[in-house]
Amino acid sequence: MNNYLIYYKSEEQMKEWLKTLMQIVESQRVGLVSSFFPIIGNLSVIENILLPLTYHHKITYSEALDIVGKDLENFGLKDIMHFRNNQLNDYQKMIVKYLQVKYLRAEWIVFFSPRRMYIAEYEEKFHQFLRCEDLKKSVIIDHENHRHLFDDMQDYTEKDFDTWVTRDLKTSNSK
Amino acid sequence: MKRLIMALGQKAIASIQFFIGYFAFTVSFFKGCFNPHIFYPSVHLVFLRQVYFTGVQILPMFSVVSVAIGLTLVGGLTPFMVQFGAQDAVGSVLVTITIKHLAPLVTMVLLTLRSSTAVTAEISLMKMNGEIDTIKSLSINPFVYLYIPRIVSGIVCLSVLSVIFIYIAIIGGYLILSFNLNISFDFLIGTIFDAFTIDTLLAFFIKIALGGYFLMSIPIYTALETGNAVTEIPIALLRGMQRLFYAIIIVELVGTFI
Repeated sequence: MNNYLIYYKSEEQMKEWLKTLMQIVESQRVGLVSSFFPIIGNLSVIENILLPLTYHHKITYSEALDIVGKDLENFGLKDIMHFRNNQLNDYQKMIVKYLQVKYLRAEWIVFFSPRRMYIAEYEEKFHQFLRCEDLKKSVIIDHENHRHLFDDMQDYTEKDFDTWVTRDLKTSNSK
Repeated sequence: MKRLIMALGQKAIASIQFFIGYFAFTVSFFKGCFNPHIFYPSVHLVFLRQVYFTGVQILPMFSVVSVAIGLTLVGGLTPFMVQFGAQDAVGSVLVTITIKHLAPLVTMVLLTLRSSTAVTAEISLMKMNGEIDTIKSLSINPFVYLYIPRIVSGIVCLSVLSVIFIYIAIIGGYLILSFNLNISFDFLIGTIFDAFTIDTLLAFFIKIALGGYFLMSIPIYTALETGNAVTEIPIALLRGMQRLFYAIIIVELVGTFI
């Protein structure tokens, strides 16, 4: 498993990393889960999740719905799959965003500044989500002040951003 | 005087920047048309939705406007021409006015007021909220997913609605005023078909294609110029509509010279 924790020191550094990731996204399929990339407001939950799947693959909506059906049930999104962005809580928005990148079939999933995505009451839910999901290649990028929040993450090792970009990302297959 | 020259210079630079940017946008539009993802379900859905918002929801209001113009045109012009013995020219006058000029113009103005404004606001908001970055982060080309379906739907809706306008204006106008006209319906239709030329059809199609493209591309391009402040959205709307009305004048001029 390649799961890493990367910490930034300042807002400037964070913005710089975000820019770097946006450039990488142009040539490589990297899934970014972040409040900087919100779910699309004029699409429903299900349309948001199916968007990458139906854009990158020539499959119908009903076929795509069969593929994501199990995840909708697991995350309790089945009853709210026709809701829009403004009807969801922060945690649900994060899950929709995660499913979006999961079905993008990205090699790496990056949780960029997750603490910005939800209020404190969802902290434990987020950790539970990380423990339950079988993430093979994921990265959590957060402010170093939030280091204590990830102390118990056994599957994650700390890494430097540049090392991860140059050694892990650039050696991955481009899309 | 110095101020005036500076203001004029600024305007000229802004116009040149707009034309260069808009040309690049047009090139990207044509490039995007060859992207294979254009035939995928997610893009179809955006296209169909836009056709519904632009071409279907407008139908009741559009029909009323078409009948009103039909009444004025057929009911007002035809008896006048018959009175002066120019009934043979009724067809060519109706073809020139309705098909070549009025149908594309009225449809474009109505679609501008209803759909172009909505598209400007929608794309501006998406840009402001970072949703366009979301689309890019999902390795989705915004041209293919967001802009091309809207622009193509603009062209499709403008053509279909213009044809509907012609039908409603001529037939509706005649039927409502048939009791008052001294010419038969057969004669009216026959004379219209006699006056139909390739030039008229060509002018109609060129105006539809150009107008349909401007109808959605100018609002989208203008919306993409907005920054991250909410206050920039009304400014984008205003600027977009201004540019679009200039574009309508250009389309009319092109039609006149064909």
